[in-house]
Amino acid sequence: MNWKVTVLVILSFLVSSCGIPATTSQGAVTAKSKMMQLTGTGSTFVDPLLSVIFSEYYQATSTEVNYQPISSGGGIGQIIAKTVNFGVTDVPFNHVEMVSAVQSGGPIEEMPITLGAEAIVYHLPQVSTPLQLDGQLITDIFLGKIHRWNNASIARLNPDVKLPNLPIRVIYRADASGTTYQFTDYLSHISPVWKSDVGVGKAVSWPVGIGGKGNAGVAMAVRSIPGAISYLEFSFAKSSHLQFSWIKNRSGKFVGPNFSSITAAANQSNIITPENFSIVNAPGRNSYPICAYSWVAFYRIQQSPIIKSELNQMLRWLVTKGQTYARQLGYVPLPKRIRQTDLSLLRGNWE
Amino acid sequence: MNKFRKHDSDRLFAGALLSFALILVLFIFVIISVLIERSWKSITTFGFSFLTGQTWNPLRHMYGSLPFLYGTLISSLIGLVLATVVGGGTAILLTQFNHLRFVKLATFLLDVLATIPSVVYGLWGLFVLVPWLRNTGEPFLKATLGFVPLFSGQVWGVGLLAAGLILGIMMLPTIISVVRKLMDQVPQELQDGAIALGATRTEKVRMVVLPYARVGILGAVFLSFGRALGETIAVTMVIGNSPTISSSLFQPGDSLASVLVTQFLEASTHLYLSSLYEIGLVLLIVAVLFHSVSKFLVWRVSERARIA
Amino acid sequence: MGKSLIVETLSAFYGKQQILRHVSMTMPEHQVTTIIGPSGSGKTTFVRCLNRLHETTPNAHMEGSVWLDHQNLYELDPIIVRRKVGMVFQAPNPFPTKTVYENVAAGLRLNGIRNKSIISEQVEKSLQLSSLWNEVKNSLHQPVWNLTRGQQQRLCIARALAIEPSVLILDEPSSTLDPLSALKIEELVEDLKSSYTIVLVTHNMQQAARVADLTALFLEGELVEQGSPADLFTRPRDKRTEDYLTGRFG
Ligand SMILES: Nc1ncnc2c1ncn2[C@@H]1O[C@H](COP(=O)(O)OP(=O)(O)O)[C@@H](O)[C@H]1O
Ligand SMILES: [Mg+2]
Repeated sequence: MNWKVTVLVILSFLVSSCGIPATTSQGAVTAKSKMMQLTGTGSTFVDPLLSVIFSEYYQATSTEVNYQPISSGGGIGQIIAKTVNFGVTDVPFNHVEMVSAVQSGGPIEEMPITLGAEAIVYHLPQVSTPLQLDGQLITDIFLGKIHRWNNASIARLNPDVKLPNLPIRVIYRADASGTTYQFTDYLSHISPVWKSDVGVGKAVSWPVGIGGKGNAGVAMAVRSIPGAISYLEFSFAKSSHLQFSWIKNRSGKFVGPNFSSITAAANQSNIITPENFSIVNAPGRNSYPICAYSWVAFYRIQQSPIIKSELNQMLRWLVTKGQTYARQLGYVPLPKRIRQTDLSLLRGNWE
Repeated sequence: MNKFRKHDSDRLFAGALLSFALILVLFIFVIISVLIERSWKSITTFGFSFLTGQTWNPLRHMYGSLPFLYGTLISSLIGLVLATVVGGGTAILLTQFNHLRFVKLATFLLDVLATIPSVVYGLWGLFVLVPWLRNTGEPFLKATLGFVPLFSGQVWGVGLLAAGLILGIMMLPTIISVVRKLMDQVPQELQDGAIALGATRTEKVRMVVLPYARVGILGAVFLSFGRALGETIAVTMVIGNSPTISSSLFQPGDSLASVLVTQFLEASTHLYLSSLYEIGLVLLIVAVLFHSVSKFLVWRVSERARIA
Repeated sequence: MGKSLIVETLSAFYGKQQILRHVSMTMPEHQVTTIIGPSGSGKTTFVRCLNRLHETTPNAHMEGSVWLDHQNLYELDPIIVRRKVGMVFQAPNPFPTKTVYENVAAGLRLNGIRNKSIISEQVEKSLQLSSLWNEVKNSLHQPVWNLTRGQQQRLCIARALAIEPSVLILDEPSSTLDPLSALKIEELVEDLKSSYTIVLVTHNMQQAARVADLTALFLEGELVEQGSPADLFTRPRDKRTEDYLTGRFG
């Protein structure tokens, strides 16, 4: 037997043994697209959502999408290294990353695929109603200017809460993460001091506190340390059963993170681009102030026409049908206008 | 004919051995050169100030590794002191007091302890040791020894002390078993000699056993120290991950191994990544240094035993 | 200083195995008692019972009594017993981490003596007694491994003498030494017997005959015969002694 034949036989055996038996009506299509697999990597935050969406997508189209949640930075790195078809990141490419990517494979397309928010979580055993905080207070706490929970400026915003005389213990993400980026982005919008002294980034030099590794590390630290305060991806905070605060928005109203307050914030900005993506501290009476999009990134120029059209199809599905799975999993679907922008980007570049 | 074949197989064996040795040397060489190559940008950008710089701020492109070096050394040192005192004491008890059933049980438990993965130690540290330190241990130290800078400041639970204690507990089984072996090697005639002069068991240990095993014990201690330097998961979980240098053991810190694993995946710029590689290089150098010292000390004690 | 050592129905065991069977004998003061017998006959076990070293071996125990100066040693603190009954082992065992001086001083320090001049005086005296002084007086603070084996063994004798015991046990002290060094040790034993009760284990019968005032023969854990060397070697009363002496035993 010729070796090429041997390899083909082995390959087809492998493919057929792991695939789901094809139905006869789809036979012709699946036989071809079964060999088809898209690979992506990146953000861990979107992984629960993407794994549901991709499994549904497989049911619908028999195209397999293999997604490896390593980290947003990992997603960017793998795109630059051209080892995956798409990357997912909580923060769009910055200038340096963009330059590397362009050198590696040409211009990058980026578009929002889902929407999330960050909760200010804390651990105060005696306090049952949600605390009310404002941006300045949160900044002061994370700058290390306020040391105890019964501080007058916290008490002023929470007249009905009996605040414990506990030290405030700041906890942050020790690893670089989009979550930290969005949180420091918010603080920089609130406070010029934060902006100049600490700045915005996936990893910053924290004035006070201790670091936890990953969402899980932070949640674990908050749960085990009375008096702790930190920021966490909202859906993660909810599933970890941590207390979280309401935050005063730009209109002066206290809002908690929830489906409608996040949607309200997102609806304030109709145009979102990779250069101008921040939606923190949004105006509007009901807007929650710490929200952000997650992004998918891929090369505009694709070598393989098959991959190109498969990727296009998959992304289209992701921002349309895929969005219907968001809510039940604790994510917020993309606003209509953003979906339309995404679709026109896909149409414009791919057809 | 027979002789010939034997000769051939000997040569084959020697050849295989030599090539294994060469592969090992090559392997080490490759690791080191890759580390140097990858950290070259950081080495040329910061030079020596990489080791003395106290600020680690990726946002401002400032990479100084001193806080990590400090945290690594201090936490390992705390662990070492704990493991040496408690482990040494336990080893003495186990070798000198011959309640056989108890010794067997203790040996079994120590073997079990040695097989527990470090992440489990880390979890135990986070959920048992850290709360205890926060609520009881550190407040007590602060109340009694608070005038010493080492035991002052805010009490967190996590921090250098917690990391050191976890490291110490993790080192215990190794230290105990090595020290036991060393003490078992102290000739019975010497011990009898001391007893025959009217020494109590404690006096015998102090006068003969410990001096005889002293250098070997030091070597064992250094060996565990080398292991502690590179310990990652358990330390990451309890050290606080804050790249600061504080004189208080209660304060959070960070370690070389720990910053490497927490930040490596997200390091996006070349300089950031390069600096993390240099952290790896520093860790390797420190570990190799301590390992060599320990090997030398162990070699010296066996050499002296041979002469005597 | 010397006092007679009296052993009554001594039995010794390692675990369940009985090594010595009902040994009774007297080792008179200012005399050298030699103990002879083939390898494994229990000589070492016997003398280790005299300074209560036997009981420090795991699972070892003994029955019977040993009397010194009207006191049963087994009713005293073993630490005290070992200060009264000094011991020198088969192979030289100086403490390798200590200097010559500190080896001799070790027992004094264990006795709580801190006064430097007393210690120095005693060290010199003991080294004189073991006729080592002239050889080491210029290297007192050197490591012991610079000494020859013969010197090391005499150092061990000095170490035992420094705490002024009444009884000195030597367990085959010259069996691992060269003949010249062995002879030196033998001369030393002769010199010392005027001040101590000496128990010398040896399986060299010539040596036993030369230095002994009294000789005891052990066979398979039993004391077969004791008497003056002249009697024992020339007119054995026991058949087994005769067999042993003529090389027919074991
Ligand atoms: N530590 C020990 N444990 C068990 N048996 C021992 C021990 N030491 C010696 N023996 C046994 O006791 C017997 C007497 O030994 P020993 O007193 O050393 O004889 P000798 O000194 O006459 O050669 C021997 O059979 C020996 O095997
Ligand atoms: Mg013997």
